[in-house]
Amino acid sequence: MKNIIKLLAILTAVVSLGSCKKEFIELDKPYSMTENVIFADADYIQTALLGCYDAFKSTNPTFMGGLAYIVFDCRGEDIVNISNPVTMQDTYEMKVLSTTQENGRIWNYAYWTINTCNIFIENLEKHNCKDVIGEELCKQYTAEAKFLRAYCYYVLANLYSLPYSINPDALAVPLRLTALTSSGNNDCPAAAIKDVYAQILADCLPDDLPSAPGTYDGVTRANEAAAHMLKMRVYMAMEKWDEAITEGKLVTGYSLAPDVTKIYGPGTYECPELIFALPMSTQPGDSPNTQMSCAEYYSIDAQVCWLNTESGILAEDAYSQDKDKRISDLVSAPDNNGYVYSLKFTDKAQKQDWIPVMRYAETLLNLAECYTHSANGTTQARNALKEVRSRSIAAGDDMLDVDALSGGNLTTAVLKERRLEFICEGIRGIDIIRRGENFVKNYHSVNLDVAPTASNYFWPIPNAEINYNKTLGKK
Amino acid sequence: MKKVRFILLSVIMLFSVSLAFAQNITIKGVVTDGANGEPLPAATVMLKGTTRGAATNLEGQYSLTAPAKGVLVFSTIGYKAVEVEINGQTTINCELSADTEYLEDVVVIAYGTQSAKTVTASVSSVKADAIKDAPNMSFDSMLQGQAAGVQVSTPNAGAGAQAKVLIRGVSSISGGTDPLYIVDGVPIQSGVVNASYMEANPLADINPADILSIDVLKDAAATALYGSRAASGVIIITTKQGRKGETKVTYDMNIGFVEPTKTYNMMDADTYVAYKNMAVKNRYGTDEKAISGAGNPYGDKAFNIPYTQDASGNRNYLKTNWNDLIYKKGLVMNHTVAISGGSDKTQYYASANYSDNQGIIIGDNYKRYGFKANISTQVTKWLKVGINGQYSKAFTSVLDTSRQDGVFSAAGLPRQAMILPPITFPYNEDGSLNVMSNGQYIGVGGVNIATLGYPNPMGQKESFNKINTDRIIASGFVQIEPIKNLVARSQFGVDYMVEGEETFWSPKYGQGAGNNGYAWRSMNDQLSWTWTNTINYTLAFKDNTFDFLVGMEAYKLSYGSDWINASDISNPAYSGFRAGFNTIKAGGEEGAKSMVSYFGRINYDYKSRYMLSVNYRRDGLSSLGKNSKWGNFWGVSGAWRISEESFFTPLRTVVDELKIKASYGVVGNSDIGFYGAQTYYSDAYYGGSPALGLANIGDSSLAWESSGKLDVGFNVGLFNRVNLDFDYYYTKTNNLVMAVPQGPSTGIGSLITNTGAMENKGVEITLNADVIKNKNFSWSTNFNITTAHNKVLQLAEGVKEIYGDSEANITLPGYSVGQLYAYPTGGIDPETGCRIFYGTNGEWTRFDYLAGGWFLKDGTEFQGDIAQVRAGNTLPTWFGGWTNSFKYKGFDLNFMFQFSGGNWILNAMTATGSDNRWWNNFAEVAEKSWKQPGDNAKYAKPIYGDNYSNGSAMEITDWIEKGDYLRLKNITFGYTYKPKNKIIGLSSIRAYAQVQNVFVATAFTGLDPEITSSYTSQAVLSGGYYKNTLPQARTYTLGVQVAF
Repeated sequence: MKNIIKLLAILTAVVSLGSCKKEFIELDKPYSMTENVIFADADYIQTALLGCYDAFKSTNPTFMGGLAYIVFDCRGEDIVNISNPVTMQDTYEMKVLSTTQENGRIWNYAYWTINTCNIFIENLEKHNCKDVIGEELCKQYTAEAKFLRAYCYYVLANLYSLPYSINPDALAVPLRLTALTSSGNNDCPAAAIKDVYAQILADCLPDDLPSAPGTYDGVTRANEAAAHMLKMRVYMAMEKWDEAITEGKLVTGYSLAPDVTKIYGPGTYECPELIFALPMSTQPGDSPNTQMSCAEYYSIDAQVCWLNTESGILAEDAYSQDKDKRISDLVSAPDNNGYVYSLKFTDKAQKQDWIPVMRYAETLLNLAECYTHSANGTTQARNALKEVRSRSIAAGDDMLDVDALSGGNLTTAVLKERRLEFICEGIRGIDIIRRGENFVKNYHSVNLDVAPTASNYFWPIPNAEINYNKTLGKK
Repeated sequence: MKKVRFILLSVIMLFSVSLAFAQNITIKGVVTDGANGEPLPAATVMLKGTTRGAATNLEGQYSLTAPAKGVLVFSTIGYKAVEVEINGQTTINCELSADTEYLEDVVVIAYGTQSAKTVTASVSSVKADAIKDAPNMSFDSMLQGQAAGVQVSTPNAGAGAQAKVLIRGVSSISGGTDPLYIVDGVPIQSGVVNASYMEANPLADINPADILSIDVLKDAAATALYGSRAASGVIIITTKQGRKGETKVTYDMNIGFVEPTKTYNMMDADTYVAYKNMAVKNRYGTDEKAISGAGNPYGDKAFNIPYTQDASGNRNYLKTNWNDLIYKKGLVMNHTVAISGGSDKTQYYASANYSDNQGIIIGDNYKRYGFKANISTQVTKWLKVGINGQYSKAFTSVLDTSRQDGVFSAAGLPRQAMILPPITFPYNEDGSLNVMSNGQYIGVGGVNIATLGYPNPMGQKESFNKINTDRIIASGFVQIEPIKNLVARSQFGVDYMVEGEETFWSPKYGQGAGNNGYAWRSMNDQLSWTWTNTINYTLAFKDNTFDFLVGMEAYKLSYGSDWINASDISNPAYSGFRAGFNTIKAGGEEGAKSMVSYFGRINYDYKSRYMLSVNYRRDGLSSLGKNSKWGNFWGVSGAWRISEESFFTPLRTVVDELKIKASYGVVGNSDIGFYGAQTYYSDAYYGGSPALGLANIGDSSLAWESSGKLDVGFNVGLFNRVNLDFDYYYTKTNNLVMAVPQGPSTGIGSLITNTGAMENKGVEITLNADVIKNKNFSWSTNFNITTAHNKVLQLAEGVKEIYGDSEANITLPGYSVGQLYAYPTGGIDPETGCRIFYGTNGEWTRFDYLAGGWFLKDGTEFQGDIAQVRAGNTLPTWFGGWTNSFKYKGFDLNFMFQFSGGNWILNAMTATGSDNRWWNNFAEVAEKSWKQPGDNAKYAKPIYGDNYSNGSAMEITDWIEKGDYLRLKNITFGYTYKPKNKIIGLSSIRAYAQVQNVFVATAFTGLDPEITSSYTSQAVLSGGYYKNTLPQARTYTLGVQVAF
């Protein structure tokens, strides 16, 4: 009897536990997916591609959906950012060091996006996705991911390097072109700016990309025109004006929105002018984190960045005319301090304003700038400039007579037009650096004149990168 | 066993009584426990030199006839015998005092208990008595200084905050370093519960007053049976159980208040204005200047003292001391009522408790009520069953956002108390809050600046963060003894915790203003269950004793979390999540991990002289890589009690105990997250369309961290009064599970993988002594000291170093983990008032803020590099405690010192307190900053806007200080009254007063040297960085302990 109980006790214990042993310790993470499942299914592959866009827009907490977009206006002089270091005041004051917060953030988010795209591209190959979605779609998805990667390098090139126009051999940033999923990959030398641009050009594959202006997918995803635009920008930075004109001419199917105010806000994909824009939604993580969205910088509710009416483009008579819709409808009334703000991004609470990354007005003004550099381009330059300008102010009301401009005056006018047209749209800081101009600021306590020879002309590589990447070769 | 003893003694008593002589006198009396006055049943009273005697009854009373000139010997097991001459007395009461040797007779080990004499492993025991008077809400912080090898630090005085407990050093870099906590055989959730906006301490759910003993298992021999969870040590909590005897009711309470031990002495309004205007003048040549933005109604200078003005123009200047507004005194109290008792077969214990701690900073509060009960019964000779359970409800509220992420929280209250200018004020003349930007920021007061960009701390009072925790820890067991000495036991235990978190940001002030009110509500539940089945068999023949244990265990932990966040409140008159909001989002997550284990142990001893123990456990855990889920853990140990040898007999009058012991084994660390070994994608959105984002890159061969632990030690007892324990320990951890940060341009972030090795070594010394032990006066002392030396031996391949969260720390092979990392500086140049920095080749340079760079002595620009250097160890290398207890008649006095040191702290608050932007500064900055050539200054020449020279923007070595300290942790004075005859049923009452954190002796200039980096993901890598943390709390309490 006793021995039977004893035996029973042991057996019960052993059997009851032993029977569930194997499955008991096999647990997969709930509500998440593995690569084997994703890359075997056409829908999931597309969803993973959108994951690359999500990283590009708002790698938690934000990349092109906020910080990387705002940073180039904060480097320029047309807005004022005397806020505090959390909201990129150091960028405005050209005081960014290797330890400054936004420096590390933009660098990290850019490379996070780059690796996300590289992993996606490699997975398409590795899992033989041609068999799942067909060769065409496979090509298109690869081109989309490469476009996003190229844009990240474009952002980096304009923040961390002397411009090509000054020294094509200047060391820029490391080029990471393969999927990295294990340790031991920290070392990677910085590539020369010319090599970074060569890579961007190689990654822009307009022929592999679809074109569908005015549609949701056609605007929110990489497309043929966007690839031409990025190539055009790079050629302009390389001062290859003819190549740039060629690319610009290939941007077709777009037109200026009749009303300049209809470009901004949420859900604007039907605007015929938008080439590439980043959408937002109220879903979790689908809009920038706190203090990282455009509206939190530019809106009158935020009171962080106001428009520089004293020494910026708005201080010039021809670019602050009451009859100009960009002034009358896109600049706020003064706040209690007397400051005025842009009305392009206003939804500070929900951050639902879309981010216009490329629009047709830029194609035109890019062309205008390129034509001023070509032998017989004056008329084309004037026409392109007029097309953009007259949308917002009738020629009859305009104190500026475009037809009277030529030579250096015309170039200046095109550049000034860009400053007004694209204020708060992430263009100004790039225009200054690609042309090798000085960053000049004179507003209250901030008085700067930063020449390309100065150490703060472009940003230093962030500390963490210097610490881990021993073959970087620059600071 | 006790029952047997009682019967035996009763027989002796009967036997003795029958032999009584007629001419003797009859003596009566009561035998009591000298420590608490409780009667001692079944104690023997013997007439010396005879076999005649008596035993006491349940009331402790005895009656005996004996010759008038005889001597009585009073004794009972566990107490020291006392001899009393009769001298014709007919009433002799006797107090017996516990024989410490006997009291420590039994120690708690894994899945059982063992005689202390035969223990071969390293175990420290803390009895309830040592911690019973402390008003702490949780036992973790009470362990500080109590046991060798156990390092406890309280990161801040936040109400309900968890202490950091390390056993024999930092066991892991990225894995958990918390010990495994077992309560009455059930492993419980112990890690800080990281809710979204604050944290709660799950250890505080256990009422310290219900704890009987805390046993700390330290070496591999002691912990091997907990296998994969044992690398950081195991803490076993045994709660109070009923004892055979009369029903006993006790009521323990204490009440008092907490206050900050120290706050910073900041500039007052006049000093501030003068100093800041000087800084403005040094920069711009004039102090009549708007720094940015529009003018200021209070004057044309950059900084002006604001005022109100009555009709006749009399000005009332507004000067604010933010410390006074942000810090406060708080009420503290604890109450516990307990009932216990039992019969021969059934014992029970039940208690109820209430605790409240209102904290030292606005918005802080921790409250708990709890109930506990256990009952066990011997159903038949071979069957025993028992049930043990506790329920608690805890409320933690916090306003200080730095509680969760102290180092980096710029808007945390301790930081606001420091940096807000004394010339900005909390309230306007009409009583409304002084705010701007729709309430988001505090008004600028007298600062000629557009916005300070900080919220008004008084406005934060309209908001709240709270967590309400419901917790059940319960277990039941069945135990059978089918044949003699074979005990089979099955226990099922659960730990179930539901935390409801609610955060509300008022639409009127601070962060909530931007969203027109914001609320967060989450419900997080965690259930873990453990089913343990063991068979224990004891085999004794001749002088040999074998103790066998085999067992198996299944464990599963699952959690779920549901959250809703809401913004745009519909009616601003309401506050809280239930107010109604126009925008609502919801989501959630869940996860689980599970483990199956098999284990066994053989303990052997020969004559209690030679002991050997072998332990083994095999664990399979779900969170590891597909190919590496199973691990083997083991420990062997042996001991030799030299004092039991015959050759030792001559020495025994002096040395009553001498034992040497050694152990070695390998245990693991499984505190490595749930799904770290898997590569997976999570749902995201792109413009509202579903997207799959790469969420984790996993290593499919991720395996355990394994720690090889060596322990060698001895134990000496002298004169029956002094006990000395010595242990040398060495732990080498291999295959460290590390989230290895990758270079940012890899775009990986960090990877969780097995890599690297680390060692911890040191010695532990514990000395207990009953220095004086008389009937009326006793003095006992306990001293323990531990040394702990950590060294990282190897990091991941390709990783030469790892940086901490703020890049103020570096971890690299050859040094202890988390070294400080700062720019080398050399004070202030007396000539120019600039901070001296050293270049990478040791070059002397000065930093000139206005010129924007580093310059050599001759004024030329420095062309070399300025780089951070390794600048000091952040882990204390020695720590311990010293407790003294004095008793005189009914009075008791107890004080405890606790000490720690050998570490360095980067006091980043010095940088904050001397920053030359608008932030307020330490009062001493006004006098100690450079003013003219030749000054030997601590702080640089004040230049407005300069956040570099005094170390705000770059961590500088000038602010690195030693972390050594000695703290008078507790002082308690009490008086116990024991009525001879119970008054209204009262058997004893004790009243006491206690002060906790009386003083700290240290050279550290921050608020307190006892810092740990807060609950960041990389706390181990980011130690010794002092910033934005709350000071410690000093607690004054009065307490009463009543027993019926």
